[in-house]
Amino acid sequence: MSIRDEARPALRAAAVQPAEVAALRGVTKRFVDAKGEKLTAVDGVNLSIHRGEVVAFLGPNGAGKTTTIDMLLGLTSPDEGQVELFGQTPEASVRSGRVAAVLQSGGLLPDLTVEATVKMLGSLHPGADPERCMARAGVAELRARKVGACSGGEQQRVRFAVALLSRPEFLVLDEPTAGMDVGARRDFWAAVRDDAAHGTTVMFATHYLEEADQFADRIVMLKRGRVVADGSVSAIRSAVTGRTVSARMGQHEAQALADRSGVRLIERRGDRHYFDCADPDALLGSRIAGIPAQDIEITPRSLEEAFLTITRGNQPEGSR
Amino acid sequence: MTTATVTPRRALPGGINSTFFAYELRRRLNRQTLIFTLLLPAVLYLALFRTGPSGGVDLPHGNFAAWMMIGMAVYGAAVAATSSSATISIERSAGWMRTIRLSPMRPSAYILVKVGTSVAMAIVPVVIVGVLGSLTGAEASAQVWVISLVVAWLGSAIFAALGIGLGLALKPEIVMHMPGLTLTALAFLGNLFIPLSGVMLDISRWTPMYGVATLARYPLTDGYTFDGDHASLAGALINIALWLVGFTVFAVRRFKGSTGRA
Repeated sequence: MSIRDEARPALRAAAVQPAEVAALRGVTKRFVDAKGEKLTAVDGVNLSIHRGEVVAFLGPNGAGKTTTIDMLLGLTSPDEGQVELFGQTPEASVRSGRVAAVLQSGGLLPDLTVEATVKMLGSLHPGADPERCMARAGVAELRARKVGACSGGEQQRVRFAVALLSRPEFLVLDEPTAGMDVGARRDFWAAVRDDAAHGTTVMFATHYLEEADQFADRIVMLKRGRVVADGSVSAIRSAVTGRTVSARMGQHEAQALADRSGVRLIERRGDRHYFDCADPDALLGSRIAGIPAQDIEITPRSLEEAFLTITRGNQPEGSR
Repeated sequence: MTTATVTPRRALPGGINSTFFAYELRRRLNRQTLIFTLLLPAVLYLALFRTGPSGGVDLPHGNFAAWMMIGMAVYGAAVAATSSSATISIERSAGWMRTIRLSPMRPSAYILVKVGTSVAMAIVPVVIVGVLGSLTGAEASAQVWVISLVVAWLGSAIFAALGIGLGLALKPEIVMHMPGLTLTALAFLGNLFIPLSGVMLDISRWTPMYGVATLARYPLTDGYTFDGDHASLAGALINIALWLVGFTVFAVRRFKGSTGRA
């Protein structure tokens, strides 16, 4: 993270760390939904992204990923807090082409051909090379096809080609592989990985853990508009190796089991108790013996639990 | 794919350049637009240029065919200029505005390109009707020909603004047909197709096409109608100014609310 680019005076002039590409400080965004109820989509998010990082932005639908990305790109402005890219406003960074984005859907004209789309938008960026961008995104052979006739995966690669036009230093991808089949997903990530290898900073939103695991070196987890976890992929991976064991049993027995074997009681639904457990074999083999338990189930730790485990660390905590 | 090879572009402020403009113009040239902007004014002219008042009233500087030709040029230019609404409506529903917002292009440049392509499109029907006029016996002095047709062409700026507003306000399914029909009605009300008089002419003075048509015909008629009434130049100019401002405000207001999530 020590790359310094002397040719970028704007970066040095700004009062940020030299390698900071994006900074969100206390960013909050509220919406009023159709029923007139206020909804806090993004709730006090602090985030700093550094040059060369590949950051996965992970979270369930409705967690605030897209809203955060919209603010990062200046498409909406936050109600509170600040967003800076390269020490400038998002609008200025967008206009200078230092940041580019692949949005989730839309944004392309169905009646234009692939080539016309890339060349038309390329004309807006001084010095852009549409041919090279089409080749790098793997859409050169689709050039004569109308965008409306392209598959979802192909359209996403067209969006990627468009994003490459300005030769951005920071690439933002909003659930770029949503709706793609496995092959299309692999092709798409191959193209992006190739680009990231050249030092482009990448941030992508996804709800696939595998994608984050294979591609990112840092994972930021968003839940209900808040950052609930922010860490390296290896930290997250180790947290995901555990299992959730659940069984129907009495409340006292459940508490006793938790105390005796050191597993954490994480949830209770009716008389079903859920334990977070690193070694389910040991728990079932010996510890649970003698406790009246029925319908025992072992499931892999859900993504959410994995992240909660990380955020909680090892602090003792009882049932919710 | 000839436009694809348009090379070195000179960028104007805000991101306007010849490549972008050429692609924009090509998107406008679809069948629907061509029928309305090329065929309809020509057919209407041929149907109406001989329908002048009986007795063969002569105008101060030309004949009835010239009067009809100028009216048709105003109508054709207006329809061509408004045809931006279809492409804009599709852009809006496709989320293209977001893509533009993520480019160096400024919103004002986007609007300028739309107005520019509309005014460029408006040349086509003006030329066609002008050629038909000369072939079918429209008579006017050379000065009248030039001034009237240029006014008819540039008057399309009013309807370029209307087209942008409608494109931003309406859904693609509706916008395919509505502007063409509305403009045809407005052209009738605006004294373009049939010489109006009395109450109809009084109503006409307040409609959007009346101002441009009256101004464009002024060199031909000196402002006189076939019944001997006189339409003042000031009235025409006020009409133009009011509708231009009105449609521009409409377009700008629609534009401001249109760039969020699609």
